[in-house]
Amino acid sequence: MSASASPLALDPALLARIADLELAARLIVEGARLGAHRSPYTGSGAEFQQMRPYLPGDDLKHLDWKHYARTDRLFTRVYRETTEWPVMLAVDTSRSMAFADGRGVTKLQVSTLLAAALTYLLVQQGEAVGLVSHGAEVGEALPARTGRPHLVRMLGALSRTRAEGGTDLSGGLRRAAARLGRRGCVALISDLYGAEDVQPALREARRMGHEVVVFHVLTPEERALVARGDVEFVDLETGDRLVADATRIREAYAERVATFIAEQQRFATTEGITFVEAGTDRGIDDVLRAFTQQRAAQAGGRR
Amino acid sequence: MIWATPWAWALAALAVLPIVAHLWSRKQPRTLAFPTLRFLRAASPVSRRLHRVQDWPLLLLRLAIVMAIAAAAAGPTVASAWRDAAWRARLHRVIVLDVAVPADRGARIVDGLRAGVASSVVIGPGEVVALLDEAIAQATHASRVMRTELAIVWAGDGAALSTHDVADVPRSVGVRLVAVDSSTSPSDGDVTAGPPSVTIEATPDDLATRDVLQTRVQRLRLPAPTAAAVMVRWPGVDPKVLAATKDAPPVSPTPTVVSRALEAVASDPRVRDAADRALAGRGSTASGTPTSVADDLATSLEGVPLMRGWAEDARIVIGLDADATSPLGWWSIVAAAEALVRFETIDAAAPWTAQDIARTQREAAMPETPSLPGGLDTRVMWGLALGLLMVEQIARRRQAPPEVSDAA
Repeated sequence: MSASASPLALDPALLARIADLELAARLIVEGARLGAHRSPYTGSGAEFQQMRPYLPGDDLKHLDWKHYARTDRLFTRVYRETTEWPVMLAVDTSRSMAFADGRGVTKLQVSTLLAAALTYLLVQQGEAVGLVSHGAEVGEALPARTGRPHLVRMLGALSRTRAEGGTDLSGGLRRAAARLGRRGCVALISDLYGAEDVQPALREARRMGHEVVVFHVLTPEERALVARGDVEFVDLETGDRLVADATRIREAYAERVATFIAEQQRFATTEGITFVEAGTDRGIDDVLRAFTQQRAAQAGGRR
Repeated sequence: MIWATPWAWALAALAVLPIVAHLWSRKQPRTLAFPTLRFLRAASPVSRRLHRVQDWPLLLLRLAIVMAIAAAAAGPTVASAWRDAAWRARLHRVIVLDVAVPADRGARIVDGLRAGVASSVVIGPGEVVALLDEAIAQATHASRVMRTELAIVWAGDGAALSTHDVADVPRSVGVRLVAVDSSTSPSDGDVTAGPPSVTIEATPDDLATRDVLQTRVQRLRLPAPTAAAVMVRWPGVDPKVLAATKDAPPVSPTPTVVSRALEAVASDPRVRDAADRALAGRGSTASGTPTSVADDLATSLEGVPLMRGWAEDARIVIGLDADATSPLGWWSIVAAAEALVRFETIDAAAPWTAQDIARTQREAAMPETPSLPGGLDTRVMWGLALGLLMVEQIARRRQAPPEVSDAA
């Protein structure tokens, strides 16, 4: 199979570029297994958290004997328990994702490639990754699992996604959050079109304790109309038609799109959601790097 | 705005052609699949249909071209106040002052006529009929270099202004009749004192022939105001016995009228034919006619004058070098009679009325053809149309090529 036969044939060069990225849970998660991420529980983890006066019943193996020798007081060393960080990828496969940019790259191709790269990174780090692809109805759905066999299944599921039907982002988000079972991360990859109730669904996921990440996939041609003259626009999802002078409405259109994006970003900031602009004109590695930097900044701000 | 050929505005109907062309050749909008119409609807609140012109600037340009061509074909003349004043200021006015006009009124009227024109000349006061020839000559001469108007300050009585006199004024010269007393009509004056007569003088032994001829030309009249008698003189008749008829007015015929009458007689081919035949029969005879003042009306093949005419006192004298009973003499009389009748018919010597004055007034302020300003404006309009055509060509060539690729 040639490298370009499948959109999900991860380019070795891309993998090399993102190999140094480390995706870590920004929030405290409560996984069922031991992992690399902080747990709300203290216990046998390797990460030292604090020292506190000994209380009867404490395990004597955590007594700090050196400290007792110096001060003649008993202190217990408390360790933070670490756990896994399950991530559910909610990929929008509505018909609007079939829109392609000037190079012919569709938003769905970018979305699946981004999801594949995330899966690769997370699996490499031993994290559990699941998938819910959803248009008007749920398409591919895989529970969060770890391991390379699961990576293969994930890539296969992503390669089978097709942009068709309408949009039900809220339904997809709720399914993804429900499939996590416990606190984890829900990553929505979508253009956020056609779903007026996506913000309540995102807020709901946040209320459930999940970390929420939104990858907003847009083409440059959507941000600013490049067409000129009279154009009959056909809605990819509804089939509605609209004749308009693209030259005349270009400025008003760009202004409204910018307002829409700003509104989404403002909502994400308010709700503590990581919002990443994943334009089709950006490289996957750039998107992921911006994602990690943004999360690091957010984590730093919370300390 | 004055239009030389207003019907040319019918060409403006051709304006429907670019409109139809624009509606007919409108480009179908390209279909572009788009993720959502949400922002498009917000940016374009009204979903416009295709029943509209898509290139308004080009359509307006083409409409302007059609209208400019129609306007240029219609021959525009912009009649502005400053242009009219400039037009009037270039007027030369020849003023003829009737002697019958009171001096004070005449001076006041002349002053009014001299005001507002570039130049003027006053002829008179005198008998209008007598002054008119000189005035016409001056006006004709002046009209070659500038716009000229002949203004006649006329009392409306005494002398008569014949239509013929006014008709002598070239068309390039305007005519303005200023009747000093509007209540006085030319018809009130004694313009024609009865029909002028033609008296045929003959020797006593030729009285029968004279009577016959006199009967035939009984109804001949000369046009007013000359009212000159016509005398036909035969060889051998003593000029001293020839006299004007008593009823002929003591008015000298103008040279123009005499010349026309004589030319009309002389140009009759029958006169020439009769002269030839008379000459072939008996040869030429000498004449005592003063050749210095006479016009040769008919000559033989050898160049010997057979019939001459001249003005003498108040008469037109036609001298015949032929016998009264000869065909030449006979046909001379007939031709003269017919010519004079025709002359009278053409230029009727009817007394003038107020309507005649109004009809004769020929406005000199406005040109007959808008040669000066109209021609300029028309050329400017054609130039404008040509310029618009060039702009339209440039606009068409600069139109952006159609897009070959879409975002989708």
